[in-house]
Amino acid sequence: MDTKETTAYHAVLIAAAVIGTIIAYFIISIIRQQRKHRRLYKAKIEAEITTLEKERARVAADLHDELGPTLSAAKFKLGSIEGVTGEDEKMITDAIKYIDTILQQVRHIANDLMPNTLLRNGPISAIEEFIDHMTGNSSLKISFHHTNIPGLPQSQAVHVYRIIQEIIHNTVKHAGARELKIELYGNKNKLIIATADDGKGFNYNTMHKENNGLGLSNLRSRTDILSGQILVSSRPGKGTQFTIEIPLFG
Amino acid sequence: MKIPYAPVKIILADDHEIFRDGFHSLLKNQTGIMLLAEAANGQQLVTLTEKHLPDVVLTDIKMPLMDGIEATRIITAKYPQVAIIALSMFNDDKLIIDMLEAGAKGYLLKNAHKTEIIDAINTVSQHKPYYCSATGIKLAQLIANSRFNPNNPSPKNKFTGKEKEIICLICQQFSNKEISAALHLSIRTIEGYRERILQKTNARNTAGIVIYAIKYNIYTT
Repeated sequence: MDTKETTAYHAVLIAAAVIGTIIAYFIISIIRQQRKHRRLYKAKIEAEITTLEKERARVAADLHDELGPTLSAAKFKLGSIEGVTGEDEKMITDAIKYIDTILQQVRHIANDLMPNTLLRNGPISAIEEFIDHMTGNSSLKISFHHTNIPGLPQSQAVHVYRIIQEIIHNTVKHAGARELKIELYGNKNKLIIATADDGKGFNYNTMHKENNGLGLSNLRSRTDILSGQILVSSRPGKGTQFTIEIPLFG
Repeated sequence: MKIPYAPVKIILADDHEIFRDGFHSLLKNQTGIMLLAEAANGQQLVTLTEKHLPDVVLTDIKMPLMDGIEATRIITAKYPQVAIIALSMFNDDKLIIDMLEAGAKGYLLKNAHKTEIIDAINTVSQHKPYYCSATGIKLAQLIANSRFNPNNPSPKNKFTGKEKEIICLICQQFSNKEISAALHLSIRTIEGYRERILQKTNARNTAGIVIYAIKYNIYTT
């Protein structure tokens, strides 16, 4: 090799090294950027959902603790009117009935927003209560088994409850199923939610592309917040199965 | 001991002034019941109970400073003759159980009808338990399995076969009309049976029958 060639060879080598370094630098920073983006995205979703749940709990408590007693008081006032007869008496009876209806509605709205049972007795009781409620309002047969459930911090309990609630809602709305089985169990350091229905199933990719799967993306977000993993298995005609694994810390 | 025909003296505790005001209006012309004082929290309730020694206390459960459960515990320990009724907004099952286990004799939903409120006050003033007529089956089960143990007579084969059958139908929320259709008996006959069952179980309403039936295994869910 003469000197000219050696110089050229060195120059190419150096250029390649420089370009390689630059490319590697870019790739690494893109990956880093993406990771950071993902972290921020997760934090953002988590903050959004946490705020949402807090607001729900606040509104539910206000409805329950503030509106309720005031409506009861109005009812008492009407009930204490004496010496009225005929039309007027009927008017008062009707007004009392309306207040009773409003009280029932307030109770339902508050319970939909944040079940009292969830905060006081934990997710199992709340899930059972929700299933009771749904069984009365739809033809879907829901079975629920739970074993080995550790005590969960309230924020986790709310997510677990919402995940199961979402799956039940989706099944009732879209699956056309007769039966839904739900299992919730603790396994070593994991909490596992497993469900299966006998409905018409769906095509996951189509659902994902058409962006119809709002319920599905809710499930994903909540599972993400819990640092869990979700596995959906569904094919047209073969029903839908969800398996969600949530790591338990401490 | 309460003097017969003397008005039942009561104290009300609730942190909502509007609710207390409404309750006051409801009872203002009611003979036989005398509202002695009103408290805005558990601490006030305990103080007022010591001062007035009422026959019956009606108290909200969730209150600031001291809740109804703690106040019930204190009052029951010091003045067991004072009968306590828990007031609950909706069926807060767990809180109602806590109140009964703390010593309350009965509970009412805050939107209960006037006649039921008066009935409840009169019932607990005779130291009998009172269960709100809006009690659902779930709460009935919880009460039957709780530590709450009012002195009901024990059922030693004192129900006839037909009575037991009717009790089970009542527990399944059957109305008199539905029971009469199911058993091919007249509504009058069923009403008679229901009356006798109420007497034998010492209950004031259907809720009392259901709790009794679950507690003594006449009805199993």
